[in-house]
Amino acid sequence: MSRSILPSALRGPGLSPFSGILVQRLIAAAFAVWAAVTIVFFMVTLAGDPALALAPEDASAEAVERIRQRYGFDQPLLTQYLRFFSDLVTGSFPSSLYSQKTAFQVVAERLPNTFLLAGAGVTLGVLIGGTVGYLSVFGRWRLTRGGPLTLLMLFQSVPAFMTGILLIMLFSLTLRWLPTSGARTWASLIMPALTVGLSLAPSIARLLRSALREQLTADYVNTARAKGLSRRRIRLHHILGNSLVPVVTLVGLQAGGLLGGIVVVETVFAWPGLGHLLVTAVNLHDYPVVVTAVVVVALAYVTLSLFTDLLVLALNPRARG
Amino acid sequence: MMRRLSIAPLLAALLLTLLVLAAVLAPWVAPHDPLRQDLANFMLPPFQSLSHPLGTDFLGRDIFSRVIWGARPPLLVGTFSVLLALLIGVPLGLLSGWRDGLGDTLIGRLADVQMSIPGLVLALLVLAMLGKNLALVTLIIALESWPLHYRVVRSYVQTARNNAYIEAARLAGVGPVGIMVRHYLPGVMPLLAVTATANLATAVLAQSALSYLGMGIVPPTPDLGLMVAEGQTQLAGAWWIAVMPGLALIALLMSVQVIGNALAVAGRRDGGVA
Repeated sequence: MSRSILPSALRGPGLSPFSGILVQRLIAAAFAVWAAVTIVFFMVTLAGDPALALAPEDASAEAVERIRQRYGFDQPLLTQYLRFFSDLVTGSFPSSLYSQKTAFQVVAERLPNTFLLAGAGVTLGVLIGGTVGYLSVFGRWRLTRGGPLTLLMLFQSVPAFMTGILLIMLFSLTLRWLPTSGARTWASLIMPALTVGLSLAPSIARLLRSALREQLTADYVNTARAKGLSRRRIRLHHILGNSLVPVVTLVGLQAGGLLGGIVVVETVFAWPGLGHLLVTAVNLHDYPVVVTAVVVVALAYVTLSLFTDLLVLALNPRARG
Repeated sequence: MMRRLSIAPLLAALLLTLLVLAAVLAPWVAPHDPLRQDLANFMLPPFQSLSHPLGTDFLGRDIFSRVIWGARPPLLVGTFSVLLALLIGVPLGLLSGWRDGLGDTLIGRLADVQMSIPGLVLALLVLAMLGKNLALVTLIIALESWPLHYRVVRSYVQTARNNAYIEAARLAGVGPVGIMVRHYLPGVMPLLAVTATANLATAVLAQSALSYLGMGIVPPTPDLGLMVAEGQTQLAGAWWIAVMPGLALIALLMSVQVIGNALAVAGRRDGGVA
């Protein structure tokens, strides 16, 4: 029996009222990317002397001057700005100081790992948060309604790095089931993804809970009940379906926090992704890699927000205006 | 109507007071110098000696003393970044809610842009370029959190400005500043108590994350996040080096969170706008 719990809007063919809004959102997204890149540019060029920040601590004045010329810090600001953009677009940004590859290649290599971790983490977060939120309203016993929710809420006050460390202590050091760090096998993904998921789940559970309770008394629920629909169908199809919009919006709004959280989680587990690369590059003063990574993160963030907007539009016809 | 006094917020307030007092009075409360190394007594397990109740780390430094001193940076950064964020967000919110127009749109756009930048990543970039510095960390966190207060104040003023008492005050000759300070500000205080507490939790969280990543603070200084990072390398042999400061951080965050929730519930019960 293939009964979708998604509202009909997602399945129907009528995507045409979208296009106007789609264009609008795309323009807004492009603007956001431009703003982010510009902020990054001004931050690295105006915040003190970038050549000095780049150079090793014991570099001679001559070496600093060489770095300045190599990256064009001695050019006028506008020239630097334009060059910054063209380098980013063409992927010819100066190569990493510690590798033969270009900065773009170094970053691109790590990207799939971060996508994998983010995807797995968000999936786990939605699954955990969704289940706990759903149980907290529709659970059969008092214990199943209150217990998981209270337990999950505790994680709201636990920093992601502590969740990670506690998981390592339990699953790696005590039980010896999972590897502590790296990404050699699929088992390496479990703890990082769980850490990301547990940081997202509490707010998802709480929001789903209040959305479900709000929908409970809606008129359409009475109508559905009067039509004689099964309780299961009303709950899963009608109430849950209508409660998904705020949850999707929340997950999207948390994208910025998610990206920050992933930087921390990747560091805890030495997961070879973009965040781990970024922290390492910052510590090594590897300027090309830092800038490229930050720009890619900003790009990912904007894409995520855009995707959320569109998903909300698909889920909620009323938002299409 | 009688208020039901719940026990959790009281306990949380007690715990928070204790933690803050210990951190503020660290020079007198801490039994040892947090930087003093004692290699004869290194990696001592916790709960075994009265002199080192939480054990010692890999350099023989007393963890209990380091936890007390280490709570200072997060509390300091947390408090001052929230104050700074209020100082930016509240006036802008008052101005923005006062009248619709270009100013309101501009400030709103600014808040949107601010919210749309992944904060921690930007903080990493700034700290990498300008160096590790607590004042800078405070500033970055404040710049990231002011939109929260701004939005609340703005929407409060927008609903409040249509009230008859505002009209009456205006007719009585109270100027814009007077109305903002004497009427809007007291009204929005309960809401600000909620946002400020929520902000404190996120600020402490952000500070500890930056310290954990090695960006917020320079090593010998005791700091909870940094201690966790240092202790993680010894997790297999001496778990307490990372776990003790971590638990202190969790206790701090949990008490703030519980107080924040209680404030939010109280605000709703009083029929506030929240």
